[in-house]
Amino acid sequence: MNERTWPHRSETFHFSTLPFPIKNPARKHENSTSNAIRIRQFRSSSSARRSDQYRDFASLPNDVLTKIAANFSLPNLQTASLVCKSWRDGLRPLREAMLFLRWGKRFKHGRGGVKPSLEKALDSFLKGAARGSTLAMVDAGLVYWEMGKKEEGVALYRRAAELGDPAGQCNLGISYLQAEPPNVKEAVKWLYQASVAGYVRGQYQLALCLHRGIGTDQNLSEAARWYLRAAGGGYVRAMYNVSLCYSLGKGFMQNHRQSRKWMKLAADHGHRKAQFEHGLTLFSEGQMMKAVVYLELAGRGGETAAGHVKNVILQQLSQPSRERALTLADNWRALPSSR
Amino acid sequence: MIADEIVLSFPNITRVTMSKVLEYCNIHGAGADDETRAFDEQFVDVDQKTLFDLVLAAHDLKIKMLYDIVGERTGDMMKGKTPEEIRIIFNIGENSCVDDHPLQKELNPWAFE
Repeated sequence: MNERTWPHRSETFHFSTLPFPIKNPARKHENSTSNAIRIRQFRSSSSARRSDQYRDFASLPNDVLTKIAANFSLPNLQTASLVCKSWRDGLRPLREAMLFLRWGKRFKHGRGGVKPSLEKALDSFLKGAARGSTLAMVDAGLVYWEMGKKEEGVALYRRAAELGDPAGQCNLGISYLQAEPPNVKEAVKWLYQASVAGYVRGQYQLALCLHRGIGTDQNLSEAARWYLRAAGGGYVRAMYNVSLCYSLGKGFMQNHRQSRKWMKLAADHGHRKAQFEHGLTLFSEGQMMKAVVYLELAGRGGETAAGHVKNVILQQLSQPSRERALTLADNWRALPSSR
Repeated sequence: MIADEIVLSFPNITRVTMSKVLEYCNIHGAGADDETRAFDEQFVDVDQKTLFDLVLAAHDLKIKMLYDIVGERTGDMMKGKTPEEIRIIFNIGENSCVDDHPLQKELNPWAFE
Protein backbone atom coordinates (compact mmCIF):
# COMPACT_ATOMS: atom_id res chain seq x y z
CA MET A 1 0.00 0.00 0.00
CA ASN A 2 1.27 3.40 -0.91
CA GLU A 3 2.64 4.95 2.25
CA ARG A 4 3.03 8.46 0.90
CA THR A 5 1.11 11.23 2.57
CA TRP A 6 -1.30 12.94 0.30
CA PRO A 7 -0.89 15.16 -1.66
CA HIS A 8 2.44 13.92 -3.00
CA ARG A 9 5.75 15.72 -3.01
CA SER A 10 6.92 15.99 -6.57
CA GLU A 11 10.38 15.08 -7.63
CA THR A 12 11.31 18.18 -9.59
CA PHE A 13 11.54 21.87 -8.94
CA HIS A 14 8.55 23.78 -10.08
CA PHE A 15 10.31 26.86 -11.30
CA SER A 16 12.62 27.22 -14.27
CA THR A 17 16.06 28.70 -14.16
CA LEU A 18 16.19 32.45 -14.44
CA PRO A 19 17.44 34.16 -17.61
CA PHE A 20 19.01 37.08 -15.80
CA PRO A 21 22.33 38.74 -16.58
CA ILE A 22 25.15 37.17 -14.50
CA LYS A 23 27.94 39.62 -13.70
CA ASN A 24 30.63 36.99 -13.15
CA PRO A 25 29.94 34.19 -15.59
CA ALA A 26 33.34 32.58 -15.06
CA ARG A 27 32.58 31.67 -11.47
CA LYS A 28 30.30 28.78 -10.61
CA HIS A 29 27.71 29.15 -7.94
CA GLU A 30 27.88 26.14 -5.67
CA ASN A 31 24.80 25.05 -3.86
CA SER A 32 24.92 24.52 -0.16
CA THR A 33 23.58 21.26 1.21
CA SER A 34 19.99 22.48 1.30
CA ASN A 35 17.90 23.14 -1.77
CA ALA A 36 17.22 26.74 -0.83
CA ILE A 37 18.42 29.42 -3.18
CA ARG A 38 21.23 31.43 -1.62
CA ILE A 39 21.99 34.65 -3.36
CA ARG A 40 24.48 36.69 -1.38
CA GLN A 41 23.54 40.01 -2.73
CA PHE A 42 21.52 41.48 -5.46
CA ARG A 43 21.17 44.99 -6.64
CA SER A 44 17.84 46.34 -7.55
CA SER A 45 16.55 49.78 -8.16
CA SER A 46 14.70 50.81 -5.03
CA SER A 47 12.19 52.74 -7.03
CA ALA A 48 12.01 50.02 -9.66
CA ARG A 49 9.85 51.17 -12.49
CA ARG A 50 9.80 49.59 -15.85
CA SER A 51 9.87 52.90 -17.66
CA ASP A 52 9.24 56.51 -16.74
CA GLN A 53 5.47 56.22 -16.46
CA TYR A 54 3.76 54.98 -13.30
CA ARG A 55 2.65 51.39 -13.67
CA ASP A 56 -0.45 49.97 -12.11
CA PHE A 57 -3.03 47.32 -12.86
CA ALA A 58 -4.31 49.37 -15.79
CA SER A 59 -1.01 48.71 -17.52
CA LEU A 60 -0.95 44.93 -17.24
CA PRO A 61 0.59 43.41 -20.35
CA ASN A 62 -1.98 41.83 -22.67
CA ASP A 63 -0.71 38.31 -22.26
CA VAL A 64 -0.99 38.63 -18.48
CA LEU A 65 -4.51 39.97 -18.83
CA THR A 66 -5.44 37.10 -21.14
CA LYS A 67 -4.10 34.58 -18.69
CA ILE A 68 -5.93 36.10 -15.73
CA ALA A 69 -9.24 36.27 -17.56
CA ALA A 70 -8.85 32.97 -19.42
CA ASN A 71 -11.50 31.17 -17.37
CA PHE A 72 -13.88 34.11 -16.99
CA SER A 73 -17.51 33.67 -17.87
CA LEU A 74 -19.03 36.21 -20.22
CA PRO A 75 -20.45 38.50 -17.50
CA ASN A 76 -17.11 38.75 -15.73
CA LEU A 77 -15.35 39.35 -19.02
CA GLN A 78 -17.79 42.11 -19.89
CA THR A 79 -17.24 43.75 -16.53
CA ALA A 80 -13.47 43.57 -16.81
CA SER A 81 -13.68 45.07 -20.30
CA LEU A 82 -15.45 48.10 -18.85
CA VAL A 83 -12.84 48.85 -16.21
CA CYS A 84 -10.40 50.81 -18.33
CA LYS A 85 -9.40 51.35 -21.95
CA SER A 86 -6.30 49.20 -21.82
CA TRP A 87 -8.23 46.26 -20.40
CA ARG A 88 -10.95 46.75 -22.98
CA ASP A 89 -8.37 46.57 -25.73
CA GLY A 90 -6.36 43.79 -24.16
CA LEU A 91 -9.41 41.59 -23.60
CA ARG A 92 -10.66 41.85 -27.17
CA PRO A 93 -9.41 38.37 -28.17
CA LEU A 94 -11.24 36.81 -25.23
CA ARG A 95 -14.44 38.62 -26.14
CA GLU A 96 -14.09 37.26 -29.65
CA ALA A 97 -13.58 33.85 -28.11
CA MET A 98 -16.93 34.21 -26.38
CA LEU A 99 -18.64 34.76 -29.72
CA PHE A 100 -17.07 31.60 -31.08
CA LEU A 101 -18.09 29.78 -27.91
CA ARG A 102 -21.67 30.85 -28.41
CA TRP A 103 -21.66 29.70 -32.04
CA GLY A 104 -20.05 26.45 -31.05
CA LYS A 105 -22.86 25.71 -28.60
CA ARG A 106 -25.44 26.52 -31.25
CA PHE A 107 -23.84 24.11 -33.70
CA LYS A 108 -23.48 21.45 -31.08
CA HIS A 109 -27.09 21.49 -29.94
CA GLY A 110 -28.73 22.75 -33.13
CA ARG A 111 -30.12 25.89 -31.52
CA GLY A 112 -31.06 29.25 -32.97
CA GLY A 113 -32.22 27.88 -36.28
CA VAL A 114 -28.91 26.19 -36.94
CA LYS A 115 -28.52 22.58 -38.05
CA PRO A 116 -26.58 20.54 -35.51
CA SER A 117 -23.05 19.81 -36.65
CA LEU A 118 -20.29 18.49 -34.44
CA GLU A 119 -17.64 19.47 -36.96
CA LYS A 120 -18.77 23.08 -37.11
CA ALA A 121 -19.13 23.13 -33.34
CA LEU A 122 -15.57 21.90 -32.94
CA ASP A 123 -14.31 24.44 -35.43
CA SER A 124 -15.93 27.27 -33.48
CA PHE A 125 -14.75 25.99 -30.13
CA LEU A 126 -11.20 25.67 -31.42
CA LYS A 127 -11.27 29.26 -32.64
CA GLY A 128 -12.38 30.30 -29.17
CA ALA A 129 -9.66 28.20 -27.61
CA ALA A 130 -7.05 29.79 -29.86
CA ARG A 131 -8.05 33.17 -28.46
CA GLY A 132 -7.41 32.00 -24.94
CA SER A 133 -10.79 31.05 -23.50
CA THR A 134 -10.67 28.00 -21.23
CA LEU A 135 -14.43 27.61 -21.57
CA ALA A 136 -13.94 27.08 -25.29
CA MET A 137 -11.04 24.71 -24.63
CA VAL A 138 -13.19 22.52 -22.40
CA ASP A 139 -16.06 22.48 -24.89
CA ALA A 140 -13.67 21.62 -27.71
CA GLY A 141 -12.26 18.84 -25.56
CA LEU A 142 -15.76 17.47 -24.96
CA VAL A 143 -16.48 17.39 -28.69
CA TYR A 144 -13.20 15.64 -29.43
CA TRP A 145 -14.06 13.13 -26.75
CA GLU A 146 -17.49 12.56 -28.30
CA MET A 147 -15.84 12.03 -31.65
CA GLY A 148 -13.58 9.41 -30.12
CA LYS A 149 -10.47 11.57 -30.44
CA LYS A 150 -9.53 11.20 -26.81
CA GLU A 151 -5.92 12.34 -27.05
CA GLU A 152 -6.89 15.64 -28.64
CA GLY A 153 -9.63 16.03 -26.03
CA VAL A 154 -7.26 15.43 -23.16
CA ALA A 155 -4.74 17.90 -24.59
CA LEU A 156 -7.39 20.61 -24.53
CA TYR A 157 -8.53 19.71 -21.04
CA ARG A 158 -4.92 19.99 -19.99
CA ARG A 159 -4.55 23.46 -21.43
CA ALA A 160 -7.69 24.60 -19.65
CA ALA A 161 -6.66 22.88 -16.43
CA GLU A 162 -3.29 24.58 -16.37
CA LEU A 163 -5.01 27.92 -16.80
CA GLY A 164 -7.00 27.20 -13.67
CA ASP A 165 -10.32 26.15 -15.16
CA PRO A 166 -12.07 23.82 -12.68
CA ALA A 167 -14.13 22.05 -15.36
CA GLY A 168 -10.95 21.43 -17.33
CA GLN A 169 -9.23 20.15 -14.20
CA CYS A 170 -12.12 17.83 -13.38
CA ASN A 171 -12.39 16.48 -16.92
CA LEU A 172 -8.64 15.98 -17.07
CA GLY A 173 -8.73 14.07 -13.80
CA ILE A 174 -11.54 11.85 -15.02
CA SER A 175 -9.70 11.25 -18.32
CA TYR A 176 -6.71 10.02 -16.36
CA LEU A 177 -8.96 7.66 -14.40
CA GLN A 178 -10.41 6.28 -17.62
CA ALA A 179 -7.12 6.06 -19.48
CA GLU A 180 -5.56 2.73 -20.37
CA PRO A 181 -3.66 2.28 -18.24
CA PRO A 182 -5.14 4.73 -15.72
CA ASN A 183 -2.86 7.39 -14.26
CA VAL A 184 -4.45 7.59 -10.86
CA LYS A 185 -1.94 9.91 -9.20
CA GLU A 186 -2.37 12.59 -11.85
CA ALA A 187 -6.11 12.04 -11.71
CA VAL A 188 -6.30 12.73 -8.00
CA LYS A 189 -4.01 15.75 -8.30
CA TRP A 190 -6.31 17.41 -10.82
CA LEU A 191 -9.53 16.34 -9.14
CA TYR A 192 -8.24 17.90 -5.95
CA GLN A 193 -7.62 21.19 -7.71
CA ALA A 194 -11.09 21.20 -9.18
CA SER A 195 -12.51 20.31 -5.77
CA VAL A 196 -10.90 23.13 -3.85
CA ALA A 197 -12.12 25.47 -6.54
CA GLY A 198 -15.62 24.35 -5.63
CA TYR A 199 -16.38 22.24 -8.71
CA VAL A 200 -19.05 19.87 -7.54
CA ARG A 201 -18.52 17.00 -9.95
CA GLY A 202 -14.81 17.08 -9.17
CA GLN A 203 -15.57 16.90 -5.45
CA TYR A 204 -17.70 13.80 -5.97
CA GLN A 205 -15.05 12.09 -8.08
CA LEU A 206 -12.36 12.99 -5.58
CA ALA A 207 -14.49 11.56 -2.80
CA LEU A 208 -14.81 8.32 -4.77
CA CYS A 209 -11.03 8.09 -5.09
CA LEU A 210 -10.56 8.68 -1.38
CA HIS A 211 -13.28 6.18 -0.63
CA ARG A 212 -11.73 3.43 -2.74
CA GLY A 213 -8.11 4.32 -2.13
CA ILE A 214 -7.51 5.07 -5.81
CA GLY A 215 -4.49 7.26 -6.51
CA THR A 216 -4.23 8.03 -2.82
CA ASP A 217 -4.55 6.34 0.55
CA GLN A 218 -8.05 5.36 1.48
CA ASN A 219 -9.47 7.99 3.79
CA LEU A 220 -13.13 7.54 4.66
CA SER A 221 -13.57 10.69 6.69
CA GLU A 222 -12.02 12.83 3.93
CA ALA A 223 -14.19 11.02 1.40
CA ALA A 224 -17.30 11.66 3.48
CA ARG A 225 -16.36 15.31 3.85
CA TRP A 226 -16.04 15.71 0.08
CA TYR A 227 -19.28 13.79 -0.56
CA LEU A 228 -20.96 16.22 1.80
CA ARG A 229 -19.55 19.26 0.02
CA ALA A 230 -20.62 17.92 -3.37
CA ALA A 231 -24.03 17.05 -1.95
CA GLY A 232 -24.40 20.54 -0.53
CA GLY A 233 -23.49 21.83 -3.97
CA GLY A 234 -26.38 19.92 -5.49
CA TYR A 235 -24.71 16.76 -6.80
CA VAL A 236 -27.36 14.07 -6.46
CA ARG A 237 -25.18 10.96 -6.39
CA ALA A 238 -23.21 12.58 -3.59
CA MET A 239 -26.41 13.07 -1.61
CA TYR A 240 -27.08 9.34 -1.85
CA ASN A 241 -23.53 8.48 -0.77
CA VAL A 242 -23.70 10.91 2.15
CA SER A 243 -26.81 9.11 3.30
CA LEU A 244 -25.00 5.77 3.17
CA CYS A 245 -22.02 7.18 5.05
CA TYR A 246 -24.30 8.29 7.87
CA SER A 247 -26.30 5.11 7.87
CA LEU A 248 -23.27 2.80 7.93
CA GLY A 249 -21.11 5.04 10.11
CA LYS A 250 -18.44 5.24 7.39
CA GLY A 251 -16.48 8.49 7.50
CA PHE A 252 -19.16 9.99 9.70
CA MET A 253 -20.51 8.97 13.07
CA GLN A 254 -23.59 6.85 12.46
CA ASN A 255 -26.62 9.13 12.40
CA HIS A 256 -29.94 7.82 11.19
CA ARG A 257 -31.64 11.17 11.21
CA GLN A 258 -29.01 12.65 8.88
CA SER A 259 -29.05 9.51 6.78
CA ARG A 260 -32.80 9.79 6.30
CA LYS A 261 -32.58 13.49 5.51
CA TRP A 262 -30.02 12.96 2.76
CA MET A 263 -31.77 9.90 1.34
CA LYS A 264 -34.99 11.90 1.02
CA LEU A 265 -33.08 14.77 -0.62
CA ALA A 266 -31.51 12.41 -3.12
CA ALA A 267 -34.90 10.84 -3.78
CA ASP A 268 -36.54 14.23 -4.29
CA HIS A 269 -33.83 15.06 -6.81
CA GLY A 270 -34.65 11.96 -8.78
CA HIS A 271 -32.09 9.37 -7.63
CA ARG A 272 -33.93 6.12 -8.26
CA LYS A 273 -32.07 4.00 -5.71
CA ALA A 274 -32.69 6.71 -3.13
CA GLN A 275 -36.35 6.72 -4.09
CA PHE A 276 -36.44 2.98 -3.51
CA GLU A 277 -34.65 3.22 -0.16
CA HIS A 278 -36.74 6.11 1.01
CA GLY A 279 -39.89 4.32 -0.08
CA LEU A 280 -38.89 1.32 2.03
CA THR A 281 -38.19 3.58 4.99
CA LEU A 282 -41.59 5.19 4.69
CA PHE A 283 -43.20 1.76 4.42
CA SER A 284 -41.48 0.62 7.61
CA GLU A 285 -42.80 3.74 9.33
CA GLY A 286 -46.34 3.04 8.20
CA GLN A 287 -46.59 5.98 5.77
CA MET A 288 -48.18 3.90 3.03
CA MET A 289 -49.29 6.59 0.63
CA LYS A 290 -45.94 8.34 0.49
CA ALA A 291 -44.12 5.02 0.34
CA VAL A 292 -46.08 3.95 -2.71
CA VAL A 293 -45.37 7.20 -4.52
CA TYR A 294 -41.61 6.88 -4.03
CA LEU A 295 -41.61 3.20 -4.92
CA GLU A 296 -43.61 3.92 -8.05
CA LEU A 297 -41.08 6.61 -9.03
CA ALA A 298 -38.23 4.22 -8.34
CA GLY A 299 -39.86 1.61 -10.54
CA ARG A 300 -40.36 4.09 -13.35
CA GLY A 301 -36.70 5.03 -13.04
CA GLY A 302 -35.67 1.43 -13.53
CA GLU A 303 -35.46 -0.02 -10.03
CA THR A 304 -37.20 -3.33 -10.76
CA ALA A 305 -37.01 -4.45 -7.14
CA ALA A 306 -39.27 -1.58 -6.17
CA GLY A 307 -42.23 -3.09 -7.97
CA HIS A 308 -42.63 -6.04 -5.62
CA VAL A 309 -42.86 -4.02 -2.41
CA LYS A 310 -45.01 -1.43 -4.14
CA ASN A 311 -47.56 -4.06 -5.13
CA VAL A 312 -47.68 -5.42 -1.61
CA ILE A 313 -48.59 -1.99 -0.30
CA LEU A 314 -51.03 -1.22 -3.12
CA GLN A 315 -53.06 -4.26 -2.10
CA GLN A 316 -53.52 -2.72 1.33
CA LEU A 317 -54.81 0.53 -0.06
CA SER A 318 -58.36 1.39 -1.15
CA GLN A 319 -59.00 2.07 -4.83
CA PRO A 320 -59.24 5.87 -4.42
CA SER A 321 -55.98 5.85 -2.48
CA ARG A 322 -54.28 3.82 -5.18
CA GLU A 323 -55.41 6.26 -7.83
CA ARG A 324 -54.33 9.19 -5.74
CA ALA A 325 -50.87 7.68 -5.27
CA LEU A 326 -50.43 7.16 -9.00
CA THR A 327 -51.61 10.70 -9.73
CA LEU A 328 -49.05 12.03 -7.26
CA ALA A 329 -46.35 10.03 -9.02
CA ASP A 330 -47.48 11.35 -12.40
CA ASN A 331 -47.36 14.93 -11.20
CA TRP A 332 -44.04 14.60 -9.43
CA ARG A 333 -41.09 16.64 -10.72
CA ALA A 334 -37.49 16.24 -9.64
CA LEU A 335 -35.87 19.16 -7.83
CA PRO A 336 -33.25 20.97 -9.91
CA SER A 337 -29.71 19.79 -9.27
CA SER A 338 -26.15 20.21 -10.45
CA ARG A 339 -26.25 16.54 -11.41
CA MET B 1 32.34 24.51 0.43
CA ILE B 2 32.22 28.27 0.36
CA ALA B 3 29.69 29.55 -2.11
CA ASP B 4 31.07 32.15 -4.50
CA GLU B 5 29.18 35.37 -4.74
CA ILE B 6 27.20 36.23 -7.77
CA VAL B 7 25.74 39.65 -8.32
CA LEU B 8 22.40 39.67 -10.05
CA SER B 9 20.78 42.75 -11.41
CA PHE B 10 17.02 43.20 -11.75
CA PRO B 11 16.27 46.77 -12.71
CA ASN B 12 12.56 46.03 -13.00
CA ILE B 13 11.99 44.34 -9.66
CA THR B 14 12.10 45.99 -6.25
CA ARG B 15 13.99 44.53 -3.31
CA VAL B 16 10.77 43.93 -1.47
CA THR B 17 9.19 42.09 -4.37
CA MET B 18 12.28 39.99 -4.99
CA SER B 19 12.38 38.99 -1.34
CA LYS B 20 8.84 37.74 -1.60
CA VAL B 21 9.61 35.85 -4.82
CA LEU B 22 12.58 34.15 -3.19
CA GLU B 23 10.51 33.32 -0.12
CA TYR B 24 7.98 31.62 -2.40
CA CYS B 25 10.65 29.69 -4.29
CA ASN B 26 12.33 28.47 -1.13
CA ILE B 27 9.10 27.21 0.39
CA HIS B 28 8.13 25.47 -2.85
CA GLY B 29 11.57 24.06 -3.57
CA ALA B 30 10.65 20.65 -2.26
CA GLY B 31 7.25 20.34 -3.90
CA ALA B 32 3.65 20.88 -2.91
CA ASP B 33 1.89 19.65 0.19
CA ASP B 34 -0.61 20.88 2.75
CA GLU B 35 1.85 23.33 4.29
CA THR B 36 2.74 24.94 0.99
CA ARG B 37 -0.95 25.23 0.22
CA ALA B 38 -1.51 27.05 3.50
CA PHE B 39 1.53 29.23 2.77
CA ASP B 40 0.16 30.09 -0.68
CA GLU B 41 -3.15 31.23 0.77
CA GLN B 42 -1.61 33.76 3.07
CA PHE B 43 1.11 34.63 0.54
CA VAL B 44 -1.39 36.00 -1.97
CA ASP B 45 -3.40 37.82 0.65
CA VAL B 46 -1.66 41.14 -0.01
CA ASP B 47 -2.53 44.66 -1.10
CA GLN B 48 -3.07 45.37 -4.78
CA LYS B 49 0.25 47.16 -5.18
CA THR B 50 2.21 44.17 -3.91
CA LEU B 51 0.08 41.80 -5.94
CA PHE B 52 0.73 43.80 -9.10
CA ASP B 53 4.49 43.70 -8.51
CA LEU B 54 4.34 39.96 -7.89
CA VAL B 55 2.33 39.33 -11.05
CA LEU B 56 4.87 41.16 -13.18
CA ALA B 57 7.86 39.62 -11.42
CA ALA B 58 6.50 36.09 -11.76
CA HIS B 59 5.67 36.76 -15.40
CA ASP B 60 9.11 38.17 -16.21
CA LEU B 61 11.03 35.57 -14.25
CA LYS B 62 8.86 32.84 -15.78
CA ILE B 63 8.10 31.17 -12.45
CA LYS B 64 5.05 29.23 -13.52
CA MET B 65 3.63 28.19 -10.17
CA LEU B 66 3.94 31.64 -8.66
CA TYR B 67 2.50 33.18 -11.81
CA ASP B 68 -0.43 30.78 -11.59
CA ILE B 69 -1.34 31.59 -8.00
CA VAL B 70 -0.99 35.35 -8.21
CA GLY B 71 -2.84 35.32 -11.53
CA GLU B 72 -5.60 33.25 -9.99
CA ARG B 73 -5.80 35.56 -7.00
CA THR B 74 -6.07 38.61 -9.27
CA GLY B 75 -8.79 36.92 -11.30
CA ASP B 76 -10.72 35.95 -8.18
CA MET B 77 -10.61 39.55 -6.98
CA MET B 78 -12.25 40.63 -10.23
CA LYS B 79 -15.03 38.07 -10.40
CA GLY B 80 -18.52 39.07 -9.42
CA LYS B 81 -17.72 42.78 -9.11
CA THR B 82 -18.85 45.88 -10.93
CA PRO B 83 -16.34 47.84 -13.03
CA GLU B 84 -16.31 50.59 -10.42
CA GLU B 85 -15.58 48.14 -7.62
CA ILE B 86 -12.71 46.71 -9.64
CA ARG B 87 -11.30 50.18 -10.22
CA ILE B 88 -11.37 50.83 -6.50
CA ILE B 89 -9.80 47.49 -5.55
CA PHE B 90 -7.02 47.83 -8.10
CA ASN B 91 -6.63 51.57 -7.78
CA ILE B 92 -7.22 52.22 -11.47
CA GLY B 93 -7.49 55.88 -12.30
CA GLU B 94 -10.53 57.77 -13.55
CA ASN B 95 -8.77 58.93 -16.70
CA SER B 96 -8.47 55.40 -18.01
CA CYS B 97 -12.16 54.63 -17.65
CA VAL B 98 -14.27 53.32 -20.47
CA ASP B 99 -17.68 54.49 -21.57
CA ASP B 100 -20.32 51.77 -21.71
CA HIS B 101 -21.65 52.71 -25.13
CA PRO B 102 -18.60 52.32 -27.38
CA LEU B 103 -18.06 48.84 -26.03
CA GLN B 104 -21.64 47.77 -26.64
CA LYS B 105 -21.59 49.15 -30.16
CA GLU B 106 -18.31 47.51 -30.94
CA LEU B 107 -19.64 44.03 -30.54
CA ASN B 108 -22.73 42.42 -31.91
CA PRO B 109 -25.57 43.09 -29.51
CA TRP B 110 -26.77 39.52 -29.53
CA ALA B 111 -23.48 38.43 -28.03
CA PHE B 112 -24.30 40.31 -24.87
CA GLU B 113 -27.82 39.06 -24.20
